[in-house]
Parts: sequence; C-alpha cells; structure tokens
Amino acid sequence: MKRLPLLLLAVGAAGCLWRPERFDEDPEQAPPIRLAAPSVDRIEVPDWPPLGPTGKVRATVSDKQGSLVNVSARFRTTVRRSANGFETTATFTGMELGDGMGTLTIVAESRNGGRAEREVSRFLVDLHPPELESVRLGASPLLEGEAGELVFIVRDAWVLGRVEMTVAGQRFVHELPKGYPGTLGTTWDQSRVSFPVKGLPEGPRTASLLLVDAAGNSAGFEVPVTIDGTRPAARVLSPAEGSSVTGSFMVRVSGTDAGSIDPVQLQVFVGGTPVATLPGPTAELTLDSSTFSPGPTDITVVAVDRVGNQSPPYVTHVVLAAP
Amino acid sequence: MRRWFGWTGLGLIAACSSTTSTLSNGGASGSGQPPSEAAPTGQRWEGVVQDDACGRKSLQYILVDEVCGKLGGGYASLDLRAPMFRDGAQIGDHLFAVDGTHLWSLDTRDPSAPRRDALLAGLGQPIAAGAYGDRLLLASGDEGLVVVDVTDPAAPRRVSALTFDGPALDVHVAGDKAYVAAGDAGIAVVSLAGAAPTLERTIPVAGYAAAVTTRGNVAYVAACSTFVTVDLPSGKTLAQKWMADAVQNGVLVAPAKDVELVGDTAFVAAGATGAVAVDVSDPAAPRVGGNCTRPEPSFYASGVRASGGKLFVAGGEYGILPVSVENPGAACPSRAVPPPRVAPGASCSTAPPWEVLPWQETWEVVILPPPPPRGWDPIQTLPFGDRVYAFGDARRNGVRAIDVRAASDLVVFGRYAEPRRFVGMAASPGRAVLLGPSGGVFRIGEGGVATREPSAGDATLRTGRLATFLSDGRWAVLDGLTVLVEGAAAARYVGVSGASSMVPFGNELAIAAPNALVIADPDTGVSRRLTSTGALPPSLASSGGNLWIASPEATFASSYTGQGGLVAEPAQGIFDAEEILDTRLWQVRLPRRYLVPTNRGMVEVVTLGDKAGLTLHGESKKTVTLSLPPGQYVGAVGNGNYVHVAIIERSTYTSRLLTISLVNDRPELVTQEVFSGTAAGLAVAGPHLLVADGEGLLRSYRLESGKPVPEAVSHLELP
Repeated sequence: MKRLPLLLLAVGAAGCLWRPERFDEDPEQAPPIRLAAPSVDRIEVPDWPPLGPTGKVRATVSDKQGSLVNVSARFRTTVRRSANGFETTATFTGMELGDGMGTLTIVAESRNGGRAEREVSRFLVDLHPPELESVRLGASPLLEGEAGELVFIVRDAWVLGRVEMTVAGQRFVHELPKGYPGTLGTTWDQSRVSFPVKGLPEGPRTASLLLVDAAGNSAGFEVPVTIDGTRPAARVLSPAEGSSVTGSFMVRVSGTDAGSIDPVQLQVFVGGTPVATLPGPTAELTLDSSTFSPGPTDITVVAVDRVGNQSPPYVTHVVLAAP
Repeated sequence: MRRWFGWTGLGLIAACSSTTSTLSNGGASGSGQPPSEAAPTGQRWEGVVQDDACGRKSLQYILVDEVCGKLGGGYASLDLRAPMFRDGAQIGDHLFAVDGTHLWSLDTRDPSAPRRDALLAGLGQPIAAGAYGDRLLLASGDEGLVVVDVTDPAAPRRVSALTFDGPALDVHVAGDKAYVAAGDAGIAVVSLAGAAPTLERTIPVAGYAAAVTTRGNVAYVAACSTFVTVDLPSGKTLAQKWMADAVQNGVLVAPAKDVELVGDTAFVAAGATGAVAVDVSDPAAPRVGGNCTRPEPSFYASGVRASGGKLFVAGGEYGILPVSVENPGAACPSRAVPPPRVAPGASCSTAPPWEVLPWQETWEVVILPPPPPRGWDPIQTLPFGDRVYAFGDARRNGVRAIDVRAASDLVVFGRYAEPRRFVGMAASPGRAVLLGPSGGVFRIGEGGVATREPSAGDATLRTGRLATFLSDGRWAVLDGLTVLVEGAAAARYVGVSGASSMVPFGNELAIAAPNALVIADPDTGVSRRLTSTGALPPSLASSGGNLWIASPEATFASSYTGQGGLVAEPAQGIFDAEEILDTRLWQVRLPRRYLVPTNRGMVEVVTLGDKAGLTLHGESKKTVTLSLPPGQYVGAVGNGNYVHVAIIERSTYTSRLLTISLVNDRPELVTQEVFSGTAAGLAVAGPHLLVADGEGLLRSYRLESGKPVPEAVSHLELP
C-alpha cells in the first residue's frame, strides 16, 4: 500500500504550519498541497564523489505567497541564506556545513512565519584528509610476498580515494575503486596498500606519499624507506672448525650486512636445534655440552637482516665431548 | 592509608584477553591484529592479506594447519614453536618423547609415574619418532632423519643423520626400511640395514607429504591437500584422492596430516574433519568414505594410531576420540563436514550512503564464540600394550605433558609433565632457600655445591610463594597470607594476597601485591599498609634505607623512606605512557618490571611486548638505558657493578642468563649463556651466582670480576 505523506495540520500562534516531512519517505510522491507555507521543493546532493570542502548541496525552496525570507541548512553548523520572492535556490558547500555524517535539514521560512523543513538522512561531508600508518618501510627485491613490498595502511574517516608514492624518481599510484564501502559510518575506511620494490635502486630512500580521499582531501607524507637486496653474511668465530669442546663452551658468531647499517639477527643452531637468536653484529653465548648429544656435531649460524634477507648457513663442525 | 598508584590496569587485561578467539580451522580473528592467544592444538595463526570489498585489502589472522598451511602447500622450514610433546616411541622400558627441540628419555617401568632419565638437544627439530631395534629414528625437520642409539636410555647418543630435499615430518619403519614424509620432496625410502642409514630413493608425490605408512609394496601418504597411494617398487603414484570440499573459501579445512592403516581402510587425520576413512582395498582406486569427528569446536585431529581393534584419534583440546575399528570399513559410516567458513561480509556500493541502511542498524555487535575449554591437548597418541600415551599440547597450561591412559577406557592413570621442581629462591652468603616441590634450605659449599639441610620449615618452603633473607640473616617465606621466619614456632598472618615481591626493609619485611604494599614486623606480624589499584605484579627493592616499588603498568617507580609519602622517580625510558596503553604489546607479552639494587644505583629491568631494557637510575636522578633481548623474564639480581637477568623460552625449553656490566655507568651486555630447562629464580650467595630451575637443578657460577663462570650443577630434586 502506498504511504501517504504525513500531512498534519496544526494550529498555533503563528498560524497554520506543516509538520516537517521526510525527504526520503516517498520521493516520487508529489509535494503535498500547501496552503500558506513555503516548501522545500528539491535538494540536490551529488551521488559521487562524497561532499568535500568545495562540494555543493543545492536546495530549491518556494512560497506561493512570494514571501520567502530565508533558507538555511542545518548540519554540523547552521548556514542561513537570505531569500525573497516566490522561489529561490540556495547553495551550501561542505566547508560551510562541517564534517561528519548525520541528518541534513533544509529549512525554508517565509516572512509571515511560515516554515518548512526537509531532511536528508545519513548525509555525509568529508573535510579531513586520510591518515597513514607505516607497516613495512624496508623491503627486499629478493623476497616474495610482503617481504618484497613497502606496506602501508591508509585510513579515512569516510571514503578513501587513492595513494600515490614517489620513490627514487618512480611514481606508483594505487587507485581505489569508486564506491561506498559497506562499513561507511560504522568504522573508518581502511586499506592495506603495498608497492613492490623490484626494480627500485637499493639503499635508504625517502618515499613521498600523497593520500587523497574520495572527497578530494589530501595529505602528504615523507617516509624514510630502505630497499635492501643484499643478503647478509654470517660466521662462527669460535669454537674453531674441527675443535673438540666439553663442559661450558663459548660460541662466538658474527654477521655483516652490506645492504644496511642495521645490525642483523643471528640465529644459532647446534645439531640442527635452535638455541638462540642474538643481535649482531657479533654475539657470544655460553652453552653446556652436556645438554647436547655427544660426538661430532654442527654449529650453524644464519644472519637475518631487518628486511628479512637471510644469509646462507655458516656451519662449523665440532666434536662435543661428554664432560 | 595511603595510595601510591591509582590507575586501573584491569581494563587493559580484559581488553587483551577478549580481542581474539580460537576457532576451528579456517576461523579468523577478524581484528587485523595478531591474536593474543596461542592457536589451538595442531594449528597456527597466519596473517593473510585479504581482499575486502571496494578494492580494500586487510590483514586477517586465520587459523591454518601448523604443518600443511593455508592451502596444503606446507612450509619451507619447520617453525613449530608451541611448548608441547609431539610424538614418541617406546623402546624397552623407556618412552622416548620429542617436543621439537629436545629428546626426553622417560623410564616407564612404573607407567603411573614416568621418570625422566635424560634430556638431550642437538637432534635437529624432532617432531616424530619411530623405533628400529634399539635405535630411535627421529623425523627432525631440516636435520632430516636422525638416528639415536638408546642402548643406554640415560645417555642417548646421536649416531647419524640423513637429510632430504624437504623437511622430515614423519617416519614409518617397516622391516629394514624407513619411510620418511618429507614435505614437498615427497617420501624418502631409507635403508636401515647398514651401520648408517642410506637413502635409497626419493619418490615425489602430489601435495605435501606430512605422514606416511606402508603395507607390502604400497605407501599411503597423507599429503595435506590430498591422499596418495604409491607403488614402492616403481615409485609411481597409483592414485590420489581426497575430499572434494577440503578447501573452503581459500583455506584447507581438511588437511590430510597423519595416516594409519587398519585392514583395508586408511584412516587419515584431517583436522576438524576428524579421521577420514579411505577404502584402500584397491590401492589404485581408493574411495573416500565417511569420517569420525566431533562437532565441538575444540576437536582437531592431528594424529591417528590404532591398536587392539581401536583407533585413537588425537583430537587436540577435545582429547582422544576412540573409534572401534573391529570392522574398519564400517567404523566411520557417515560424512560430517565442518560448516563452511563464513566469507567476509563486507560490501561495496556506488549508491550514495543515504540510501544505505540507517546508522543504528549497522551497529552490529560481533560475538565471537568462546575459546574452547582448557584441557590436556593430545596432538598424537601411541598405543602400547594396555596403555595409550597422549602427547600433550600444553600451550594453554604452560607445560609439556604426556598422559598415560588405560587403552580400555582411556582413563588417565599416569602423567609426565615438564617439571617445576623449583619456582623461586633467595640466597644469603653461604645459604639458599629454594621454593617448590623440591624446596628446602641448602648450604652453599666449596665450589658452589649445594647440600640440603633439613629444616622444620621444609613443608612451608615447598608450598611457599616468595622467599627472602632478613637483615639478621634469617630466611622468611611467604605462604598464602602468612609469613614463616626461620626459627619461629609459627607463621605470622600478614594478610596480603597475590604478593609478587618481598624484601627486607630495615628490620621489617616489605611485601607487595598488585593492590597493596604491606610493611610488617616479621616476628609479631604487626603491619602497616598502602593500597593501589594496580593489576600487575609490582617489584620491590630496598636500598640505602629507601624502599623502591615499581608497578608494570607505570612508566616510573616510586621510592619510600618509611615515613611520609612516596616519591616518584624518573621514568624508566624503555616504554612510554602511550606504549603501556597499547594492548597489541600486551598481547605479545604482559609488562613486567624488576628492581635491582646495585653499587651504581637502582636498576630496573623492564619488559613490554617484544621490548625489553634496563634502566640505571644514577646520581642526580640521571637515567641510562640499555636494550635487552625480548623474552619472558623471570628474575634479576644485582652483584656490585653487575646485574644478572634470567629469561626463559618456553617454546625451546631453554633459559638464558644475561650479565650486564654497569661499570662507568654505561650498561653493557657482557655475557649470555643458554641452557636447557626453565629458570625459576636467581640469587647471589657471596661469591656465587645461583640459578634454580624447574628441573630441580641449582646451577652455581663463580663470580669473577662480576662475570659468572660455571662451576657446579647440583641435582636437588627430591626422590
């Protein structure tokens, strides 16, 4: 059954007033017959992009008696425009209305006290730029998956647009599809954005990121990044190759990384069992030979740099003697 | 009554314990943050970048099989980090159990009370075991097949090893041959006839070989994404067959990870799908039949073994699912597939938002199912005569454990658990008191050797929580709400529960709990008290007439003279006020602080998440910091210009002893030692540094210029 617009007559000190009607109840229904009051005839909000600072809402209002006095938009702030005559169209920008999502109310008033309101539910204005969280600022062109990518999380209170990254003179653009995510209004719009580093020159660089949301708000960031395609190297400094150890014995290991100034992590194995991960460039630890199976065994060290490049295993053969 | 610290940490604890949930395979944490809880038995959390609606991507942590991975492709290398027993083999009177890092030789002559004879590392990463005469065969990951001579169970000895192109994940012995499941390399056929094992051939198979068994000339391979039969003489694949719906929404939910043959039926352990029965009466045309599973979310089948007409399915936190296989073809008649994963519910619309659902209707509360109940969590079983060993995943309980159950009804009648003989200690020159089931008073003699001195307080020392030595040299032990002092006829009530630190303060005792600081006369029990709203265990230290107290939730410590109020000391500088509120760090590891008096000033050892550091409070309130390795810190002690710190690594059953020099007021890590076992406490006794561990050992180090030199290990476990 088709719903009838609410049309209730009330009598008050100011004369006959229409109760506010809902814009979205039945847009195909013709405006109700109005007696001695203005009306909000049309509200135009662009479907896309969402309203940014310069985006505009147009409201057309009229009064059969030709006594319009003003038209206002009530959102985060209330913006009032003077009006006169039988019909007028007012324009309100996103910057004037303020940031957020909620109900926009357009109010038309006439000189004789007549007044009409019309609402837009879940109306959106976005005035703030997206934010950036750096997830992985170092990557290796030798590695697959995210280890080979610079990774960021971009988030916007409303709708994301695109991310541009310029590093070492190369520009990468990640454009997000046009559309309103289903989480709009419940959580921030968020996406993980990654850029492969294959083909980029190695070394420390500065990445310039430009984040633009769907409404056109933008923010720039300068982020230090490292592209490291050099495997580190590792060594067992002691005990010496072929030596025999017993009781408590010292293991000294070292790791170097030509691709980065950051110290490597040194993974130490005895007989294939992981015993410790130690910060480089050199590290020592004491082990108890009675903990391990006696006889010939391997002491192995692998260096891992900050971006995840691994050295080949360095193996020293020793003989563990029972204490 | 005074308050020294007044913010609520309880909310943080609640936040970090409720952010994730453990779901059955293929479940998702949904938060995009690393889950705070360990994954359930047989699974691991894996971060995967997921395509959401509208071109957005997010990182979701999903549960995948720990061996097979998200899609059954396995892993390049083993990374099994849960503190759990994984498998074992019975040879003679001994059970040889493996936990991924160590071999545990357990005397099971009295199966109700297994006793450990040896603990050994250096055998790779052993995760599965088999027996060949008096030789133990270990599938040891990247180290391959490791052969161990266990003729003397008290001194097992590695005799050889054979590596493959893939990690050794399972071993099956038949006659003079061992068959090794070697991941993406397939299966390796190893001859055991000679003195050292020799590789006869490697047979590639589809999928990722996680387990293998054989009969006659046919090998049956659980290969994660499929089940494969192989003709051994030719090396040709006879057939491969698996459940059609094993992969759902891009995740392998029925990982074929272990296999056992009973008659003409191969039972394949397949996670939440349970034991899948595959008719192999014609190995060239296997038929996947029904599956024996349980609807509980805690059920996750990782291992299958059969004996005496019964199949024992290691069902993770559910326990063992026994299945009668007298008629194996009819043992699992029906098909029950876990419900499909729910795909992400995100949407995308080009329509403007005011035509979408109203605001209030989009606020949906997502209620994740509760985590499964705590339990002993077998990942593998081993039937042996009238008993079944259940190799336990103790990640929720904190210790490795093996249940010994009656094969007839699965009633537990014995258990071996990772020992916790000592749980704390204190020392004075020449003496130490150790707390725990093997606790007591010990004389520290020449060479750091400890000798037990029976004491009237031994019973209290075995149940006590905290110990210290008073300024007059007597020991004091906090047990429950009372303190027992050496020589006293009875314990005195001090009325502080959940205490975490106790130190002498002048002639009194200071005892701190998260919510209270009590200063008590140890002989009369008369006390005064300050209260706090803290939630984490604070640390105490007394130095120069001042009492210091540090709550892990705070960035600063406070000092107290015994009169007036507490004075805030400079912040420790390892983490700041913002980081301490970051629940992501709490999820990694809860914050802890230790106060250590030294000649250079008060030292704090501070940990939060994977951050750890040391702060020296020097003269004029100046602080200097040093980064320390991440880990679970269990104690710190001062020694003149040096600080010694103990860290435990539960996943590898090792501990690390660090020594930090404060000489020239520049903290510097000067030595570190790694040993097997879990340190329980450390203390300085004159020229000796003592470290007690859960094994019932007391390690003594001679302090040479402040640095510890190993001198003695005393075995103090009570019979």
